[in-house]
Amino acid sequence: MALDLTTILITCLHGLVYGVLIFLVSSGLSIVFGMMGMLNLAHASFYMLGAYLGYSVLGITGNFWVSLVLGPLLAAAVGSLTEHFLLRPVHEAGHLFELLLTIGLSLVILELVKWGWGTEPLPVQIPPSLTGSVQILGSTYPIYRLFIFFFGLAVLTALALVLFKTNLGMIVRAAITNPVMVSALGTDTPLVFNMVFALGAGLAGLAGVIAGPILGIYPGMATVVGMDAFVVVVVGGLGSLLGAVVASFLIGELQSFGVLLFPQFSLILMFFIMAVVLSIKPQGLFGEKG
Amino acid sequence: MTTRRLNTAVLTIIGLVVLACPSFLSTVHLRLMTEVLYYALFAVSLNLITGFGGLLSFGHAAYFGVGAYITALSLLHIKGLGLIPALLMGGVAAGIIGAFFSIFLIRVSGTYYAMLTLAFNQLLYAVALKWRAVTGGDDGLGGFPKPPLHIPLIGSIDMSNTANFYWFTAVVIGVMLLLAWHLIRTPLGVSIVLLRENEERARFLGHRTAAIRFYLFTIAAFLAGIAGSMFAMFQEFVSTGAIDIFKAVDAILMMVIGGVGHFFGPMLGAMFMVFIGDWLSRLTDMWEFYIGAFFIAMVLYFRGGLISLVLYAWYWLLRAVSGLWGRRTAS
Repeated sequence: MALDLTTILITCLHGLVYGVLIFLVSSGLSIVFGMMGMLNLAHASFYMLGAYLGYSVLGITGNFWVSLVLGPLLAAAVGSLTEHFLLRPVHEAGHLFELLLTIGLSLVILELVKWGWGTEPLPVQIPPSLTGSVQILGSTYPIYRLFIFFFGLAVLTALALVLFKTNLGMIVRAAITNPVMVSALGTDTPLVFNMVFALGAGLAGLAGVIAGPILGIYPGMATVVGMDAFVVVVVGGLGSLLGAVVASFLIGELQSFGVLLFPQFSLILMFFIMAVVLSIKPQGLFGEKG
Repeated sequence: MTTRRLNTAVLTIIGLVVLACPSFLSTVHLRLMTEVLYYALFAVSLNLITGFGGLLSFGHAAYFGVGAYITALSLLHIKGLGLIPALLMGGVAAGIIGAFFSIFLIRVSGTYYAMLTLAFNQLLYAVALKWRAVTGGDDGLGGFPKPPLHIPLIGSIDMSNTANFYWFTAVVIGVMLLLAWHLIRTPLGVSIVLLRENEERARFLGHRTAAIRFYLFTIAAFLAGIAGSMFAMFQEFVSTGAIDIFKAVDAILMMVIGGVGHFFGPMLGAMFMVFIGDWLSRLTDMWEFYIGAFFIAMVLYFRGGLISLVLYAWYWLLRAVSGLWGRRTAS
């Protein structure tokens, strides 16, 4: 296949857009890992839940922007309940049982989604205000994809600002580093943990709502994006936000160019990279501790 | 009679009942029971790593799948291959893959172990899915022969007969389970548990922790490969379903529902999953929801699994009986 500049540019943009989506999912996964020391294997279920809940909100209100707010909020609420009623009671039993619990949770959420919305893919329209395309270097590109990219970047910036520049962010980072000490200083750390878990679920739900129109809403969506998110947090470094950013765009571009250049090997290559990083540097490219 | 001898007697009776299944089970239930047997070995082999070794493998289907695919491929391409060689090829291939992966797996623990096993599993899944020329991709592999079992001096036994194949499965799985049972009683098995409890102390005491883990992972992979190989011969069809993430999750579900860390737990879990799963799936489309919810309830309130319930009832019975008979059966 002849690769002209336009094709490369479009593919590159596709990769960036997918990278932003994966980042929204993996950032929550990574922060929650940093906080609880365990990987939430049901994290992608919140992505799926956000997409389906957003779809229903859109159906009721007919307004995309309302669904963009309510979908993630509902996913965050489910996340908060999950942390409080399911994860906290098993915490003292150790990471093994926490991991096991999230496996069970992902099964239950998947089945509930199939029961509530059916197994068929749901038709989602790009919101009318964001349809159409723009001219970029002699080629057209859909506005909606650009919206995803810039919206995701805005969320990423806001997240980084809150986490690293505000008092609240300082409390969260302190609670991650030394929960006992922060608790002794008068902060309700269980509440902080709960809110952070809910934030992660909400971010994943947000990704689900905005990804719906381009990636589709169907019961298998959690597995596909979940795998990519695992690869991202592992390659970037569990618990590292910067790592999640870099790895998200890396995986996004790999997926995008992989489909174009070597469709046979892109999936294999992705897990190969994951295995190599884990074997050589288990803490990931930007992880701090092993 | 001591409790130990009583336990042996009970296990022998259970073994005899398992062997006698063809005489009182219908063909449908006998087929389900065959599934129980190889899934039991699959879950037991995972339990060696998770229950005894303390590491959660999120990719045990890799070995199950390799065993299934290698057996299917060798039966398909090697003319006149016997039943036992086909079985062993599947198991050994899985063991070799397991040994190779172990080189990398012995360096990591905890979440990193779970993630690396997931990566390896997905890597092999991607190969099975994409290498269509060999594996058939999504369509899978079928149409391979199921050779009869040749026993010297006795003759050959037709394996297309459900009862015959059941007995063959029972013997193969029985031998493998005895192997696993023996393993946890050897010094190696004791070291595996020691590593789970305190790796630093184990190293201080002079145990070669890397070597111990290497053997553990390789043996568990071999056993899972045998289970997968039996799966292939029983189903006479292998597709990516034998090696995908859901197969790995199945093993975890069986292990935990049955009782993680107890040798007999996963067998009970396999039986529960196959029979209850079959029963529920005929009642409702949402059967996986109930399995998942039951699993969560287990993790929350009943971490010992079904086996602890059974053992509790058993020892209660023993105490009651010993009270009646003047403590003669007390251990």
